[in-house]
Amino acid sequence: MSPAYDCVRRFSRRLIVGLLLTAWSASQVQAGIAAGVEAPMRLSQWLNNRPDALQPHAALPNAETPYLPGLIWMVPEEAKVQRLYKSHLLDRINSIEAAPAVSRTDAGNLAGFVAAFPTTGRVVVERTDPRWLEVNAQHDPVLKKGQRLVVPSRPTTVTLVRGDGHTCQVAHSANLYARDYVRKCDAAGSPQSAWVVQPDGLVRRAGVAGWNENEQDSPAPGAWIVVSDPAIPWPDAVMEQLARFLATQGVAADMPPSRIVALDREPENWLADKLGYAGQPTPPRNNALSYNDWGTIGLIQTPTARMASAGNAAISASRVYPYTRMTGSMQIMDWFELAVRWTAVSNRLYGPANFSGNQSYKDKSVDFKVKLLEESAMKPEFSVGVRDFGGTGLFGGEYLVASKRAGNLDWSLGLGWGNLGARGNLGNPLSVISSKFNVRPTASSAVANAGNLNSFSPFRGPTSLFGGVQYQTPWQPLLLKLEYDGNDYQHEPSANNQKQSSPFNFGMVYRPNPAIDLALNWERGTTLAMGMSFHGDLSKFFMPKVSDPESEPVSALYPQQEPDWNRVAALLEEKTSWRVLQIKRAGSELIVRFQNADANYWNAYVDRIVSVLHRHVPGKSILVFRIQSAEYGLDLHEFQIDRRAWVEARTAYVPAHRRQNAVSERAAFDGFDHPLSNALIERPTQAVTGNIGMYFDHSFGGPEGMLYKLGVGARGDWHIRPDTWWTGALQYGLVDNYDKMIFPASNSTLPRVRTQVERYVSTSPVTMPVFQFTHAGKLNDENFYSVYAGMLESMYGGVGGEWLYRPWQSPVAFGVDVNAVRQRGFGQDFSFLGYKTLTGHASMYWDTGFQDVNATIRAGRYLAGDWGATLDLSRVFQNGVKMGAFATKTNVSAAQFGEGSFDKGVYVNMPFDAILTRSSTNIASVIWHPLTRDGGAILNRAFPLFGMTGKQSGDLLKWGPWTDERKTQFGEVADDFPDAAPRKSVFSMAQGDLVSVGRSVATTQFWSSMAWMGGVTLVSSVLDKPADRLALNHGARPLMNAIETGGNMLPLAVLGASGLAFLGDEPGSKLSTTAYSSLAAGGIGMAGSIALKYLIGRDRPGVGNGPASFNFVNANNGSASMPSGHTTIMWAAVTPYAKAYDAPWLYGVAAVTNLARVSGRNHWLSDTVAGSLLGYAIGDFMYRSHRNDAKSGMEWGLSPNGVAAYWKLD
Amino acid sequence: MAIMKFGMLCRAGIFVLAVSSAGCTVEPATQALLDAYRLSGGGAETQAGGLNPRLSYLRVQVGERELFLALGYVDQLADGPVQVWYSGDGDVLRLRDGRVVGLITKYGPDWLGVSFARLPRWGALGDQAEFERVRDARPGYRYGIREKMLIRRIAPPDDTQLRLMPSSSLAWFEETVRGDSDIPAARYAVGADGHVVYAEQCLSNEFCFSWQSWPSSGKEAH
Repeated sequence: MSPAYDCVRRFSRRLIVGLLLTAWSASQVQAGIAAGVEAPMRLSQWLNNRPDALQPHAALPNAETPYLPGLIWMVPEEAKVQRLYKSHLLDRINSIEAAPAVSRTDAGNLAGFVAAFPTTGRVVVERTDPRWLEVNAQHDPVLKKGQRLVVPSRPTTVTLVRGDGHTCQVAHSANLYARDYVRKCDAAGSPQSAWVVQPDGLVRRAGVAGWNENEQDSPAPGAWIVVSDPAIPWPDAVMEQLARFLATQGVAADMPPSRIVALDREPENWLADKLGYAGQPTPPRNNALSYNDWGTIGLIQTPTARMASAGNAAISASRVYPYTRMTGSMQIMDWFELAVRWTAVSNRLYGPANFSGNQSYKDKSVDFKVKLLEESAMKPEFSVGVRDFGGTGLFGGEYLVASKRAGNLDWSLGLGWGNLGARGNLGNPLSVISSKFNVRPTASSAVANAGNLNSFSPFRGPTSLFGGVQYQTPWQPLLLKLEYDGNDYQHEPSANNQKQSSPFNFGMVYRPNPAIDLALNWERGTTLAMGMSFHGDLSKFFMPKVSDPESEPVSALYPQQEPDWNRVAALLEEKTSWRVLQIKRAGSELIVRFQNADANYWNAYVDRIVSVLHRHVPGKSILVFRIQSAEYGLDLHEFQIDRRAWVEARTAYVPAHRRQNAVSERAAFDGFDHPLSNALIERPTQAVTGNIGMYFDHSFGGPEGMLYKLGVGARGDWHIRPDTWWTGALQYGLVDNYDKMIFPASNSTLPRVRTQVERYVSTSPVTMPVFQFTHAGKLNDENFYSVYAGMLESMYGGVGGEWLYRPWQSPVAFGVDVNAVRQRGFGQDFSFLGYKTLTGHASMYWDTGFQDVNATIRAGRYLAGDWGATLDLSRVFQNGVKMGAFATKTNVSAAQFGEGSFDKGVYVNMPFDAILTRSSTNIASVIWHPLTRDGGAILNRAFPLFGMTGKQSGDLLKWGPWTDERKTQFGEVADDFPDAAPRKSVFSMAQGDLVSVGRSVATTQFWSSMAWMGGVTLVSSVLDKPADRLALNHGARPLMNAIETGGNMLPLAVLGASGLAFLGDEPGSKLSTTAYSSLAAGGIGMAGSIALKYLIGRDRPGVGNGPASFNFVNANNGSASMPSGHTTIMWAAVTPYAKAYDAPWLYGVAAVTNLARVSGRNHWLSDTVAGSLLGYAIGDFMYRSHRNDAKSGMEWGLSPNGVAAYWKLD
Repeated sequence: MAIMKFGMLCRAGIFVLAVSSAGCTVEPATQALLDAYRLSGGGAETQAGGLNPRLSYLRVQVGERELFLALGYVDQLADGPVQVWYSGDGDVLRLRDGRVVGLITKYGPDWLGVSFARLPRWGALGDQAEFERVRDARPGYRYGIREKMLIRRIAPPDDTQLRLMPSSSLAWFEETVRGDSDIPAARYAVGADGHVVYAEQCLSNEFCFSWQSWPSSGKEAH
């Protein structure tokens, strides 16, 4: 027990609790002002009537001053919910299972601490200044009789609570943070985390150890700090729940002065004094992440295990003779970094002088890095990465790297292969598997090999250690770096050897602002290098819409008079810039229909529309507003607004128990023609619309650098009928650089369907990119079609049609398009060239529900007549920023395709709404598309149905400006309550399983397990040859034949039995649930094993190439050896039974399948070990996901603002 | 840059909310908001024509943007009267004796509960004086920031945003935070009657503004 806690230990449980109890039960004395609400009134009014609550500091802040940030608004209805929450917290504290390592004494003390607090029913009021509330009524609560208000006195301390319920109180200082208070109380302790509960109820986690220190707010006077101490190992969830419970209590009142830890003056520090930081601790900082020469997060040349948060992106440039690198990197997930790079080698030519002149050699490449392990107090962050994966492999390398932070130092140590380990001073540890790993195929700069995954030979050849340290100096903008480089520059690719006198590089990064890094390095002991990075978190881009029209004033009073409806329509158009087609009254509903309403952030538009309607539409009769949009003749969507709930939320601060969802989205299936409606405004559709403006198209990634064209353009639409229209566009090119475009020589005999782009750009300054007639319609509410003809895009004209199946709010849609097209003349007029073809695709669109990832898969015939498929994966953030990658593989061989081998690219889309002060529907798109080729080329249609039916998603309100998560912290705590959800259908269960599997892949536990399983498999591989020899010598014996037959049949038998049990037993029973888990696990096991076969490509024993013969990532790997599909399915299917019925002997039965697969020489032993481990993992996962007592299901959370509930998959 | 947004967001809405919360009686705050709302478009010269002669205004300048705040209340508190000024956006600026003692805005930074110790009166101020300021600041929950202040008389500067009157007609003071604060110095221009006519104040190293009693023809904020 530390002295500080010890000094308060005398207060332990009873006394401490007694004191705190006094603070609240005798609030009149301790809390400053406490009073019941006698009559309904606004909080601002109540405060203004109490001058004693408003007195500022008489001279300086002290304990006698009213403390409005700690105001407590007590609402009896909220207290009921908080009682449940408290009870649940106590259950967890008293449960041995919740924290078996916590002593029962400590648990009892903490339980007593919690039990002594009342449930207050506190509702957080974020701002309490009455003068401000008066004019910001949506933040001003309406008080009701029976409620109470407390304005506490201003405390002068901060109170720490430990896991055993002991507290320690420290004098407050504006310059101290949670870390500092923790040290004041227990200088010898080693707490890792704390939860700071601010007086206004905000709860935030703070890292208080050297490895996890982060930017954090200073605790205000009266704040609680719940300290997580390894000596009392409560799960974080319990500590957080305790913190949130304390947030309902208000400020921690001061103890008598003798029990308060006073602040000592900081010892003099000469350096800090010189730097101007004397006398105050350095504010806690996040670990500084910076980009290396390769444009990914790392040191100078080498990577680290670090990752930025999802949504970050960077454009980096570096110059280290003879290389100039331009890199774009994206952090698509918190655990996945993707980078694309373009490297110019200044002392090598791109090709023969008569082909590409003096163009320097250009290398395109793709890198990725995956985080396997999160950093913790004892463990480093651990990542695996691949460099130059998708290009020539000239700079190809792989690495494993670990990083560990200690305050301002961030250490990294890694093992590199290929370019990263070219020093080769270590052997390859993987050579224990096969001697093949000792040799790495030489990379070639031949462009024909670029992008060919078949030549990908990862983790081959000798290795080298690499690593170093980054130091965050006391001056925040400056970082210093030192590293040991594993590369050997005297043996560079293409014999481009460079002088190197030292393996150590050192340098500095200067950050003039948070978005720019300027690097200066001394590398190889011989070379001065420099770099620059522009970076930022695109997912947090946000711009207040100060240039948008303002909402109409909102009053709690409802108009009485019938308005001038033309005036209402004019106001609606002014506020939205959309054309009003109709306004109708239908019973108690008012329906407004706009023409082609479109927006990225809909919430603001809906608010402005409703503000107009509420201000002018009589209130007694109209209680619901419906906002619809007529687009292409398709009735898809409407917003439905509960007028009373909407008005209440905007004219008063509403406690959680009374909050309603005022705006909802509905399918407009019941249409606009309400039988009892009467039209108030009726206008025809505006037939002709158009716009003029500038255009700028670009592409980059090729040897020419960026290609662009800039010009002016005009576009028009003429709606013959709402569902039938003509679209045309004219462009006048002002400037372009497509004359620089290089079309490398290749063996391609494909028709030139895309590679003549330079001629399309340069033949005529005036072009007509599109001239098209389109008709669209609904077959029913879920099926849509369109037919179209004309000049469909800049290079193709013709006719086509599309059908799309897209149910309302469905995560999955499916469509087919077929087009008969002919190549257009280069002038983009009405002329055609000779080439014509039939092209079309079947497309599936899937909103995976996993970390906002969307997938689109297309399969069909491409423009050059090649057949194949395109996969597009993207992540969309709340503010609409989208990061994605696509790849197309067709039946065109890599040689035919030319450089790049197959079509691929990455892109970032950013809505202008994220960066402009005025709302816009435009989207800026940056695409990295290394090379334009003829294989895998797709028709760029103007009106794809999936885009036209975007409102079918029914989630338009989901997108909006980024919001600081701190503002939404209240009410997000989760805890386990019994599952109250109804039984789901088998299909929805299966869908949930897929999502669940996807989510689990995103966890570090998953990747840790994978690493562990890989290790066991690796070890087992030493028995591959002996086991195969045994099979060869004894496998033909009758007993072994019987085992082989039986073992091979077992998976099918188990799955069949599971099917019968699932169908036959009572839904929800233990057997039925287990059987479903078994079936699902078997299915996932089968899919997983097939996918791994394609990835690993190990030869079977019968092939005769030995156990070390691999052909990674090959389309012909379908019958490859690793892992064993039979054993994967078998182990996956039996594990749920073994778990549910505590029958480990079933694993012995499953092992018969292993024996069968090895004795029949179908697999190596390690194949079956891998299959067993994989199957067990899947079976265990499915079992835990579906067991009746699982933690999966509905979860509840509580805060001062109320209760939140959501569905959680364990 | 919260004040930059004064007058641009939800101006009328706030006004009517104020009406409804006050039970349809026009309170001073409401009248001030209404007035600030009416004035929130266009430049100072344009707006000056729309002034309500019954109200007092502050012409506030943030960078190149000008806007007008209207006086809603003068709260009589123990430390002295505090003027409560409203923007059309519902932001609240509090001044006591020409010094900022509070600012609450939509986007911050906010200063709350500013108090002083040993603060000399303008009329009694010689060439130089020291006093102490304590304030709470958001975001970041930096409550109880104690600062030692130094105020000294300076020559009329040329680089001000003062309008319609020469700076030489006023007495000028510069107020700095002693120690390692990153907040730039404030400047005050005091009229012959001992009231502050114009001031420049930074709430952080990134957010600065100036204010001037308006109309400037001898009417001063007090």
